[in-house]
Order: sequence, then structure tokens, then C-alpha cells
Amino acid sequence: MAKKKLLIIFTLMLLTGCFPSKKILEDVQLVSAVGYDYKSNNQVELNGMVAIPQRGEDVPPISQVFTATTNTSKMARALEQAESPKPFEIGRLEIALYNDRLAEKGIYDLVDTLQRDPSLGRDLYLAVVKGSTKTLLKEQYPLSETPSKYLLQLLNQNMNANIPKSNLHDFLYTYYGKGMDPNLPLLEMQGDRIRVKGTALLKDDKMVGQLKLEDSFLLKLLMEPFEKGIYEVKFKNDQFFTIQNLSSKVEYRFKDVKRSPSVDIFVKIKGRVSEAPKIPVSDPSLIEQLERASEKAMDRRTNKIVEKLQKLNVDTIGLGDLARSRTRGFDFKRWDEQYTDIPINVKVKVEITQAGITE
Amino acid sequence: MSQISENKQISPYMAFYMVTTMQIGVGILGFERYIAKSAGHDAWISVIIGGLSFNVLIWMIYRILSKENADIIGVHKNLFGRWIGGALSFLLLIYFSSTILTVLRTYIEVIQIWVFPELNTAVIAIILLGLAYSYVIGGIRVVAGLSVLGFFITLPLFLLKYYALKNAHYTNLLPILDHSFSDLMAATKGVTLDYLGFELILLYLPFLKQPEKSQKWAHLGNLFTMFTYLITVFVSFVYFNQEQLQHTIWATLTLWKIVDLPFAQRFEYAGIALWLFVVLPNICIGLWSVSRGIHRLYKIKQKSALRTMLFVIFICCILVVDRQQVDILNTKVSQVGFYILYAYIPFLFVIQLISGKVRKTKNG
Repeated sequence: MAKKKLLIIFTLMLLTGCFPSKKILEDVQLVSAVGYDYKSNNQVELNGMVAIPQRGEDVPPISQVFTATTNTSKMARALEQAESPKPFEIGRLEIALYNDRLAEKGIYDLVDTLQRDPSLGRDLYLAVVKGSTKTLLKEQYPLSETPSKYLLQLLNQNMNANIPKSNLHDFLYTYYGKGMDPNLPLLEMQGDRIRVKGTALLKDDKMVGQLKLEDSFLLKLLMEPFEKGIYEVKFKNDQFFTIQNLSSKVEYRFKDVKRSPSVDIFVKIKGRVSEAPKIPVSDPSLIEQLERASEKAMDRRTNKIVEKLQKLNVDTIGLGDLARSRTRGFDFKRWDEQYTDIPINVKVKVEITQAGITE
Repeated sequence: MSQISENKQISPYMAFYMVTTMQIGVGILGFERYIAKSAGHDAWISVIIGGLSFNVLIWMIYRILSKENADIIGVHKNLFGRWIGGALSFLLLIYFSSTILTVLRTYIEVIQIWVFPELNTAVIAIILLGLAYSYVIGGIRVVAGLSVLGFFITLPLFLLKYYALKNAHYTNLLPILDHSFSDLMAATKGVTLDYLGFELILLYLPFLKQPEKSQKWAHLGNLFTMFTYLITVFVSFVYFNQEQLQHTIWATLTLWKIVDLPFAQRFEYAGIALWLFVVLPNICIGLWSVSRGIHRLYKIKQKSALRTMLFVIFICCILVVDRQQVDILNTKVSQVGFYILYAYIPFLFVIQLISGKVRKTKNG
């Protein structure tokens, strides 16, 4: 009996040879950001940014970019390997950047490799970059240790305030989903800073247009309830004031979806005047005037944005899906045909609740 | 039933754990897209219809077994005689064995795809089967205890749904009842496959003390499974839209990906490891019941039957190589299971009713 047991234990020990090899953190290179650049019609340049930790306490990691050109992104990683002293691991990838020219060509194939990989998370940020992603990733920014960390904080902060939320899951959600189209943040490098330029509007996986940062805030109002975000309104001649959004709500009303649809979008903003030089905001009647002024300004601008979306034939707000959820036997084909001509009317209501701590 | 001594039996309420453990296997990790294929966002209704229909089947099984006061092998023998009855029992045992194989192989596939792509099927199969052997050899009480343990260990996984609900699109579920009745029925057929597994009660029921009392628990177990599926489907539907769901093979596993704990960035690895506590009792109850069935049928010692089974399952496990084959295995086994439950059990029920009347008239 004892012999038998020994034999079993021995066999089990032999089995350990069949186990997958371990991955030790010090022996791999963690890619924290990738950037794809347009090279030619069927070639893409892939740039992987790696943060290499340095010896010693409180020494920030240095970042390195590995570049390769190829047809598929996985191949590119294999090519990069030839330069790298350690194997790459992409499990901690946080950001994927796409060059604007590439984005106009379509990025689905590149995103697909990311979603297929089980080691990757779903909260990965995707963004479109004006210009080369390589130079953006190669730059050392004084604001943060590595470009990837900078980008992560930048996008995180801005998605809370001014631009619509979007990560890998959201992109796939809107890409696959009927009656909605994806949007991605649009970035640009300016000197030793990275700037959020606005929002890239996509039809399927191709970038077809873009919105400025101020307009992105209004687009966000149309898409999701949120707090934070600042909008500047012109009040009489050279007087400007800014409204800070404390909370916003959006409501959609659809009429006659099956025959000749029309949509009313109601946006309700509770805000406070955060800056109002030269305007005596303590006056209650003036507050009302400010409310009307900002309503008027936002009304005009949001309706312009909606018009633009319709002109580009992109449904970034997801009106098609909302219409589906309210209509039995909804016909997507009909809706898609009609979308560009549907009367969409946005009505903004602003309520200013406070004006700071001084009178 | 009197031949089983009380110290080998388990309490009636164990039926609850054993039924849910057997039902919730690996299917739940990715069944959403199959049922959503036909009924779209209304598929949750099918989950309810399917669950309720299984309560009827449980009732039938209890009626069949309690009338003969035996397990299914005894029933077959009484109704069809030694040879035909024996053949039917044999086929049923093969079906049960293939369900064990399916669960084991699918779990191994999940490990291979999600965690260790280079892991050898044989190695992990040996380890899991060896582990199962060590439990099954302890008898049904140990196996039942394991299913209770597995139930409570995996219960907290429900809490993880919170992360998906933070990002939910509730309008995905609207408008309710936007699909035709036949769509709903097609989805119901799909969902019944995930309720399969409890039919092993055909074999282990005599080991429950006061079987008539356990019926209530078996029904509750089935309802709990229904509840679990309902929550799972609901959360997956509000998190993914229908088109995206069709591209997601393991929706539940993908949902674990978004769990963001301060100390663990990728929860799915922990989740897959924890899932062993669902898979292991599942395999163990199966192995125990089938080896018991073989023992009853052929007068072979249960231990030797178990060892032979382990060997056969191991060999079959290695023979299934890729995703497509695993998929085929799953579909075929569930199809057979579907007919066994919805055709064979009612058939048996009717035959028994008739033969009971015939016997009565003969005697009277």
C-alpha cells in the first residue's frame, strides 16, 4: 500500500513538467500603451510603450517605445520582440491610440485583436490622435512619469467632465449595437502637453467627423446624465460668464416612430455660475436673465450639433436604439433610411442654483 | 429502499443543494447568447417558462420512483423486464457519463482559453478526476457535503453583478414581449439545456432519507436555479446589447472582467478558480450516481465501476481537441438530455400509469 502511494506521488511530481511556465513580473515587459499609425493602404505601424521600472526607491520608471510595421497587429508584436530584451506582456495595457488617418480608414480589425485577447481588461481607453501616435508616445512629459500614465489620468478626468464616456466596452457596445454609433476622444500633442481636442464621431469603425471640446460637453449632455463640466456663455456684448454643471438630466420623446418619426430631446441642467466678471450675479432678476441667455445659447448650439450628426449620418446619441426600446416591432432599416431627415428638436432648460460664496 | 442502511443516507433537504449544483454547471458562464439568439431581449421570459416546466418533470420523476419504491434501474426492470429494462438503464448511464464528460471538458476548455493557453488537457484532467475520485470514494454523504460547500463558496459571486449594473442600459429590456410566441418557445428549448442535470436524482433518490419529504427541496432547488439564471440573464442583457452578446462567447466570464477591486485587477482568474467548486461537486455527484448505477445493474463493485469510468472519461476527454468539438459535444449531449427529459420521462410516467392499472385488474 505504501509503495502504491509513493508511486502515485512520484507520478504526480513528474506531471509538474507539463505545467505552463510561470511568468515573473521582473522578466517581462508590460506594455501600457499602444499606438497605431497609418503607413500605407494595408500596412500599419504599431508602437508599443513600455514603462521600465528603475532600481532604487522613488525612482520613476522610464518609458520606451518599440515600433514595427506590419499587416496585423499581433505580427507587429512579434517583430518588436526582436529588439526587446524581455518578452512583452499586454495584460496591463491601459490605452490604445489610433492615428486620425488610420481612424478614417477603419479601426475594427485592430480593436478586434484587443477584445479577443482574454488577458486584457474591458476598461481600456481608446482614443484618436491627430498626427503620429509614435511621437506622442515617445515624448517625455513633465506633467507625469510616463505618457501612458498621463493619458490615463487625462482621459479619466475629462470623461468625468467634458467628453462622453468611452472605453473598450463602450466602443464595442456602440459598434455592434444597432441604432447607435461609437465616439472616441480626440487628442492632440501640443508641445510638451497632450490636449483633448474634442470628440471623434465614428460611423461603424470609421471616423467621419469631429466635435470641438465645447461641443463635446453639449453632446455629453444629450447622451448621459452627469455632473461637472463647464460651459461658457456670451452675455451682452463683451460680457461672458461660465456655467458649471451640477447635475443634468436628459429626456427623449419620440412621436410617430413607425411612419414619420420626430424626436424631442429635453435637457435639464442645474448649474452654478462659476465665473462672471463684470456681471452682478447677486441680483435675482439677473439670474433669470442669465438662465435665459444660457438656454438660448445652448439651444442653438445643441441643435447645430444634432444637425451635424444627421448630416454625417451618425447616431452618436443612440436615438435609434432608444426608439427601438419604445416601439414594438421596430424596423431598423426604415429608421436608418429616415434618420438624416428626422426632425430632431433639442430644448435646454437651465436652472442656476448658486453663484458662489460672495455677494 | 429498505436495503440501504440509514448511516449511508443523507437528509431530505440535501436534495436542494444536489439539484442546484447539478443544474448550474459550466453552461451558465455563456448560455446567454444561445437563448438570446431566438428570443432576443425577451429571453428572460423563456428562463421562467423553462424553470417552471422542470418543476413538473421533478414531480413526475418523484411519482415514478415512489410508486416502485426504487431507483430508475429498479423501475426499468419492473416495467420492461430484465433485458429491455437493462438495456434502457445502460443507455441512460451512458448519457449520464457523457454529461460528466461535457462538464469536465468544458471547464478545462475555459481554463485553457482564459488562463493557461498552453496547459495540456491530459494533465488537468488527471488532476480533476483524481480529486473527484478521492471525494466519490468517500460515499454519497461526502459528495453531498461537497455540493453544500460549493454552493456557499460560490454564492458571493452574485455580488459581482453590481459592477455590471453600474454600467447598465436598462432600456435594452424594453419593449417587453416584442417577440412572437414561437420565438419564446425556441428560446425555452434552448434554456432547458441549462436546467439539465437534476435527473441524476433518478439514481440517488433512494439514498435520501424520507424521499417524499425531499421532493419539496428538489422543487426549491430548481427554483433557486431559475432565480440564478434569471439574474444572470437580466444583468447580461442590460450590460451588453443583443448584437454584442452574439459576439460574446462567455458573457458571464466577460462580466467578471469589469470587476475592479482595489487588490485585484482581473477578477475572472479568481472566478474561474472558484468555479472549481461548482464543477467538482457536479462531477462527483455524477460519478457517484453512475458508478452506483453500474453496480446495481451488473453486480460489479462500485469502486471498480468508478475506476473504469474515470479511465473511460479521461480517454474521451483527451479525444476532444478544439473549441468546435467541445461545442458539438455540448449541443449533442444537451439535445439527448432534452429528449430524455421531455419525451422519455413523460413516456415512462404514462407507461407506469397503464401498467399499474393492468396489474391492478389482473390482481382484482
